[in-house]
Amino acid sequence: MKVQSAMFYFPEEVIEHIFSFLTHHPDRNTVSTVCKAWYKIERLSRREVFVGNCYAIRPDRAAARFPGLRSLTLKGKPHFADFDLVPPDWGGLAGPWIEAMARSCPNLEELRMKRMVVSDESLELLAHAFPNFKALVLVSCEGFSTDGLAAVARSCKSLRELDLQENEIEDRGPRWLNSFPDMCTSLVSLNFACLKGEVNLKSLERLVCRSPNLKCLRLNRAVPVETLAKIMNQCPNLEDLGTGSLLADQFSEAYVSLISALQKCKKLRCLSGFWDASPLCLLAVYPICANLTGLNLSYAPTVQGQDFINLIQHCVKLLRLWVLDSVGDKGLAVVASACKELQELRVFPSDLFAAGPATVTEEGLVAISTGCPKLNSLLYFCHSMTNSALITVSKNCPNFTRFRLCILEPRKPDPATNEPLDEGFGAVVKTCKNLRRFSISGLLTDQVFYYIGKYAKALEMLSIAFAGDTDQGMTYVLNGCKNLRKLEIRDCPFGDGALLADVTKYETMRSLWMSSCDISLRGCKALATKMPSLNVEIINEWEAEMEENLNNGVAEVISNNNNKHINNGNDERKVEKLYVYRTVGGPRTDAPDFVWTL
Amino acid sequence: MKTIQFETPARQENAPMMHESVNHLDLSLGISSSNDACNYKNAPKTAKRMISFQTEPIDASPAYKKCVSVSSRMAFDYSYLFSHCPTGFVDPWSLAARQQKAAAEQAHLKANPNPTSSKIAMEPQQAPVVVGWPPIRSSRKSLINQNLTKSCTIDGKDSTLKSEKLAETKDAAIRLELRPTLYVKVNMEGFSVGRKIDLSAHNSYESLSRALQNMFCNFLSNKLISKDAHANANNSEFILLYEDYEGDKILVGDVPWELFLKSVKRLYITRHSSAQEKAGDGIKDSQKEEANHLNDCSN
Repeated sequence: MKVQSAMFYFPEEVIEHIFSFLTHHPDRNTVSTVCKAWYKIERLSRREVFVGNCYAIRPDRAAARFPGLRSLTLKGKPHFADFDLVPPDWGGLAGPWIEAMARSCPNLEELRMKRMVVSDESLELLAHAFPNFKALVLVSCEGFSTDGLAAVARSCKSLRELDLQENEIEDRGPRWLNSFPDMCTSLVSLNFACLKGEVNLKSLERLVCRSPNLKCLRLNRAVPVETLAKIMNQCPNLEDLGTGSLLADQFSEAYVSLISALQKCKKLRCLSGFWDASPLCLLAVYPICANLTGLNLSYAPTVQGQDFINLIQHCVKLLRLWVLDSVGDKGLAVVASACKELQELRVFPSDLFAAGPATVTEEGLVAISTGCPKLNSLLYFCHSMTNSALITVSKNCPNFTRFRLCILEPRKPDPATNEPLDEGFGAVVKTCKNLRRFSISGLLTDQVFYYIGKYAKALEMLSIAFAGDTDQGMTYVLNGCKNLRKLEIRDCPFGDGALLADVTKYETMRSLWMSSCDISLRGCKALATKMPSLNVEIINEWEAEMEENLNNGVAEVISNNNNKHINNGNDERKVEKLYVYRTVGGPRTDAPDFVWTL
Repeated sequence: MKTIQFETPARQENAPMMHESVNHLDLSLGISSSNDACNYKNAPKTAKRMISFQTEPIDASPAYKKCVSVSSRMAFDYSYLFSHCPTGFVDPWSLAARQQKAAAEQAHLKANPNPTSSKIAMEPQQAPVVVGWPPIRSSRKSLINQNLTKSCTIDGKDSTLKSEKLAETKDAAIRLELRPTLYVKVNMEGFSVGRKIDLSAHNSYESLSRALQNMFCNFLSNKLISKDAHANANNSEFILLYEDYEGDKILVGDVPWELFLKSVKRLYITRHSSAQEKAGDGIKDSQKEEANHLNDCSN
């Protein structure tokens, strides 16, 4: 009691100082709700904001609330947009956010965006509006070109980080690299691996030469070995390298130069790229393998078989490994014996159909789990899986926080017993108490959801496809997973009953995605009516129907606010795609024609 | 080195279906993209229904056996479309797939002015690709499609040949990346109208062969040749030739796929017997060209 009343007499500066120790966003959000004074202090001292769904709040409101903002992280489209389930022009526009920040938060230094649509004009605005801008990280974004990058390079005087991961960037020529001014020496991290076009190699070399602080450099496929060797000679302090194309003749000067350059890089910890890697170039990498903590070979189908084994057996300190399944169970067995510290493993498919001799099976996964007990993050694509393998894996590695298993053929049962994989995945949730992210596949009944609801108490994100029997499955999850934030479902037999089982649950979650399920327009309307704090958006092919009507001479004006189509009586129509999310921003104003907010 | 003879489809079970649907001018290229999987906005509604497997409510009984029988049927449906897909997975959003779909749609409209839902019947090569499955990003999918490594195994025997191959592969790789489509004309002997095919949508001779077979098998059936004649046509050997930058007609299949892509300008399908005659002509032509070339050099 005494302490509580004493807090009110603390001057603001002291409280602010106390708050500065709170870095975790949820904690800061909590203290801001205590009282008005704390709300004000918190908002003025807030330096970082994370907006998990860009439509959860209006940009100008966020900008106005946190005028001292230095770092903003935004996420736009739903996760399934990565797999082409969200039509283009759906939204996720970065423009309004950048404009709002330009108006209210001039001290912005860092902007991280994922799955958003960014235009060149927005990048231009970004480059000019924030004098202290230091870091731009774009992941899975689109809508911009190398001209936009040039604008950022040209005008951001103290740019430290330009990180482009997996974006769709229109290539308008290699000149953007020239745009970095000659006096720009501040670069610490540059990643343009996703750029598909040519790069001006001389500009690149000059840029690297004048960037003594460069720690992370990820090149794209157009950069040849010769340039890589020159660059490596310039920055022996590099910690993270993404190679360009590693195609080289073993007797070439470039290759020899590369070997000697790499040997000098004592601080190199993370390697990626490896496009077109010939086994000869891999030899060059051996000397530094012993210190590697991160290795990404997932874009290198040429690295397989014995080449892979020869490489990986040196990587004894590896923490993160991304590979293609062409390394096979044999390759994974070597990983298990060599990489005892492994924490994260991702195995991507190299061939979607034939389960050839060199793809991975449950044996590879079991071997990994036996050899690498510290494994906590897994993404594994395979052609089949057994319950017993999953049970063994969960016994060996109880520390999973992220577990994603994708069996390439939907609804495939355990080939040994012909049973569903409920028990296997059930074992994972039972033993892994810290499981936060879970993706399941194969033949699954409601039983697996019973297990998830019962045991997966820490679960935050669940991805389901082609699974379940009845509404009860989804209901188990909604009722049981207290910390669930994101639920994404496709091609499951869940209907209105499941959707409406616990409507208040959705207010505790960031979002729900359901596509190709059994929900109807009536169910979605009911949800929208009951929960006004949610945006209930549907995406439908009825648009095609409407267009047909138009073409046949039925004059109908289609506008975004025209409810004629939604309210024409037939509520039993199935909804193809549903996206529900909590928001304080109301229905969004930039929804395209095919998205209806109920 | 393997030479590829352009033979009629090995999968005989498809032949009867083609006969039944003689009026059904199916211009699919053998890539199972001929439905709404490609073009999101213009997808016919009926095709969309195919993707969703949950059109009827599934019985509430959770008995495993029933489940297994239902799902094994489903699994069968799926394994069928996955393992029989002739040319491998094609990114439904790729330009090639969308263009093929557009071509198929146009052809459908010409052949059937009143489109019915049966046009998207479940023919083996028309089986729908599941959109967005497996869940990998398009940048990885395009890597799988390219998959140049199959033809580029480095044996470690001849280093000069190796380096040549390496350079070619890289060239081909970069060219393929920078140029997403590679449409070439395909002319069949005896037909004044030709077709176009996108070579970059294929990664091997097998897939090209299958695509061409599908393309031109219907060409024949559309002509309403009698059954016997059709059977004869099926049995006689067709040769696939290509014309390169120098104008020479060369049998397809001698060189690695990537090198083929670099040099091909157009394709020809001729009957085996007439190819020999043409070869005779061709030799004369190329001799003439050689003579011209020599003249040029000496100048």
